[in-house]
Amino acid sequence: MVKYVGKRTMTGLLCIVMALCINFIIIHAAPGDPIRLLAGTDAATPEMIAALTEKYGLDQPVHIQFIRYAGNLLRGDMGTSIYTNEPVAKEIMDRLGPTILLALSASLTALLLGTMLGIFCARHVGSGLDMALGSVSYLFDSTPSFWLGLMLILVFASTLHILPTSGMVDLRGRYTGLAHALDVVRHLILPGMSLSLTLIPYYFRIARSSVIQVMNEDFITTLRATGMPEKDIFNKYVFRNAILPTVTIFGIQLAFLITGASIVEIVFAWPGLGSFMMTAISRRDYPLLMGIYLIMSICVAVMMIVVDVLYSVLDPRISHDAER
Amino acid sequence: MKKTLQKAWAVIRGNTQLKIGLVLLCLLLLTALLAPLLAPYEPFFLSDELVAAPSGVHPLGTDGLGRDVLSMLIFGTRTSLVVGITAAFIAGIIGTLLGGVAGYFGGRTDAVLGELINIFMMMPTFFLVLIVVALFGSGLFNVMVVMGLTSWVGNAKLMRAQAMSLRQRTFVRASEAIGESRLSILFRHVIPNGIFPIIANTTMGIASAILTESSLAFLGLGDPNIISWGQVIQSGKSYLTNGWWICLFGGLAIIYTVVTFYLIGDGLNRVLSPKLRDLGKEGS
Amino acid sequence: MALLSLRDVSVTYHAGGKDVHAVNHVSLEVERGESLGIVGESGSGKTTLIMAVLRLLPPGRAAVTGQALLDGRDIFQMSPQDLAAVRWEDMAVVFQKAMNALSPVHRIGRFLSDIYLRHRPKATRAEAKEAVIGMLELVNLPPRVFQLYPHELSGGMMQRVSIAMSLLFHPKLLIMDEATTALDVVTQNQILEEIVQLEEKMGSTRIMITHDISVVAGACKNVAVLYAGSLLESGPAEEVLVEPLHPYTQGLVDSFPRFDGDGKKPLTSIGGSLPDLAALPAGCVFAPRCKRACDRCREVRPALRPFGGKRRAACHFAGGEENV
Repeated sequence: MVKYVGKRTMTGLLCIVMALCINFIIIHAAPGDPIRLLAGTDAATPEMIAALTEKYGLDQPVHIQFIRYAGNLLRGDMGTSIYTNEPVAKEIMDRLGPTILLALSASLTALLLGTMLGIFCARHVGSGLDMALGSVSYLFDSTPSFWLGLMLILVFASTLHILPTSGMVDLRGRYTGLAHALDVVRHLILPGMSLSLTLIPYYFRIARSSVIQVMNEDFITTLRATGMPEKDIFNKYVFRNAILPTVTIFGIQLAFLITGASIVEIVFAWPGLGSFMMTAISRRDYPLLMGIYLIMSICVAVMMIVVDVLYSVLDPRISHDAER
Repeated sequence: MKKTLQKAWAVIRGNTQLKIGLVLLCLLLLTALLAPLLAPYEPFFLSDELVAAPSGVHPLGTDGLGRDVLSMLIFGTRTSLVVGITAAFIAGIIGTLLGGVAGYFGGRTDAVLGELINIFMMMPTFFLVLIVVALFGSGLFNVMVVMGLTSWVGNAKLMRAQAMSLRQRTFVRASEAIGESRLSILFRHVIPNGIFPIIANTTMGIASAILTESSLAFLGLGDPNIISWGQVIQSGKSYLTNGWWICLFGGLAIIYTVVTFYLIGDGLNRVLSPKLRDLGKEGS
Repeated sequence: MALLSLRDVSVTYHAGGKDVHAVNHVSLEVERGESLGIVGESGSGKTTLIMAVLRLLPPGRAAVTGQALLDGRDIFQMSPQDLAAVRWEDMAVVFQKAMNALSPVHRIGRFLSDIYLRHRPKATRAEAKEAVIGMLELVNLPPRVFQLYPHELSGGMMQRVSIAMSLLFHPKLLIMDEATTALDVVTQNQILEEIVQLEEKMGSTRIMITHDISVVAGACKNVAVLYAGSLLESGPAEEVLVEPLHPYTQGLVDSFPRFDGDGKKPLTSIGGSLPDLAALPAGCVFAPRCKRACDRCREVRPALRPFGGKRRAACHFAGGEENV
């Protein structure tokens, strides 16, 4: 088991390193000079440009820059944002919270609803409800989340006025404590829904097909032959076996949702990392871009490792094979 | 050839999803091919009616610059199909090659490539696509290539599994015993026999490529010279309340197209599953 | 009174608008202590018959008629509570492919204990464990198997676990459906020997379902030959297999290579294939493949007639002369 965790962690680390390299190369190979962008509107003197270039080390050859960057990273320093002059780490941390809040709540909602509906449909295969839910699921699967977000804003915010159109908090009200939390929740509903509704089909499909498959296994017939009641068979044996694929999907889903939520963040002006990424890109803010991508990669890698380990705990066949 | 076509027709007839999907696809292809004939206006034509509601003159309304929404959507079909199919195709080729080599050659090649596949699976590719497109320019070519280069992982895993099981098959071993080169076996026997699930997966890949492209266009990172549905939605964003038809119909076009490819991919998967079971038997 | 008495049992599936007659008016008796081997090709209905008796056929898809009397009580008429009580305590089953008979994510001990506790709700976990380990030892398995997962055992060990599981409550009737088919010949023989010994120890009566005549010859007292859902011949194995009354039985025996004799007897097989169960022939169900078939065979279905002692056969030619 420890070996398995170790192996996956190694892959994770390799992934992060590789992502870092690719990222670095791409960003620094791209056209567009951040210094000019930064100094763009002002009539920048060559001395200013030279000073800024030196400050951010952009006059050095690329590999030197990389080494310096890596060295700083190990010391916990992600550099300074070219645009805002704040430490990158701080900028990112300020916005990581909202992104995780959105991604996590959307994922969990989708997991619970999708799995419940999938299990229900598996137990009533072929029924009218099964067919209907299946078709609806298909539609939502094909819907772009940003468009769904816009439609939801149109209906619930602009027309019905029962939910806010954007942002995470009501800027005019100054709530604290519970009221603040409720305000955030109120703002969370529409962006959360935009994401969940497009995620539910995945969980629905997986849960449904997994339960159907397990229910047709021989050991379920054996259990029936022993006189065990259907309820017990389902809760103890079908569920425990059928839940495995869902767990895998959840981890992967959450990992990528942290990146996939960015579009919804932009639609709803949600103050998260995703929307911030776009700003960083347009400003060619290299240190910020590197920092965001690094954090994202770490999040995804960690999520995947956790999921793999969790899966190997739930399915005793996995670590057994890995250790052979 | 005729027999293959007859078999294909029987297969299609037996599968509801494929039937519906292919019908929808035909409509899409016709729309894309006959766009200039079908669209009532030039898509870039700026009429005087800005943000006009759907009417007899403009069946789906106009946008903020006076462009006819219906015409834009019709021409947008071309973009979506071209980008989606090309990106998925690239991902399919890369995935098949990498997966096939890893699965068939095994040993250290597999260890390295397998690890590469695992690493790529962990990478937040959407951001990578964002960064590349944003920094290197958003021409159609860039978009297609970058999407293809980042979404091959699923195909690679599938092909790898296929190659690993085909490696044990008698006809492959026989070819090895005869002395055929491993590369030749890979391309002549392993890949053609293992390609079916990848075809289904690639079809799904077209659907997701179209979704990704529309996201990029929505973010303003699409090709500005070409009509794209995501772009339509983006232009409609500012007129959400008083010009809701712009966003609405743009989205519906995307949904229609994605559903089409999902149906076909799903239908193919269902058709292929009994075949997959047969892969275990010799000589099929 | 016979332990199990099947009277005119028929099973009909409704599939694709057609009636598939999987089992046709089968009547047979199993006496206490006299093991029965049910022999037939794939598709002969032997598994369907037994699944019907166990009431494990998917509800709503199959129509079962006739009676199945276990110690005088009709299984088909039992209420769900009575049935649940009878299951495993009075009749138990060992399925083919033992690997699939247990849940892959539960430990063997846990799985068997749950079954034990289902029928002995007042017992403690410790008592259940004791009972289970006792059974494991009975089938020559070490107690440590209790902690293992199914994938950690070999095929032979898995089959032994299945047998141990079925004997938990010393059932009167033990049904083994192709229980040794998936094993290699050496293990098969070993297990067959152990099964015969166990039967004497446990006082249970065994029904073995197999396509392999040698299994019946070695391990069963009586044999019943099933073909296309109909019972063609039955009686003591020694008599039926040495001097078959029915041409089909003769064909089965002839197709088996023998170690004795001068080794010059040619191997024969029975030409043709099973009839379509949705469109059975009017007369004898074996007539299309029978070398001795005459017109009467094709028109009139031969009844199952007694032939001295406990032998019965359904053939117009049985007994040496054509019965008019």
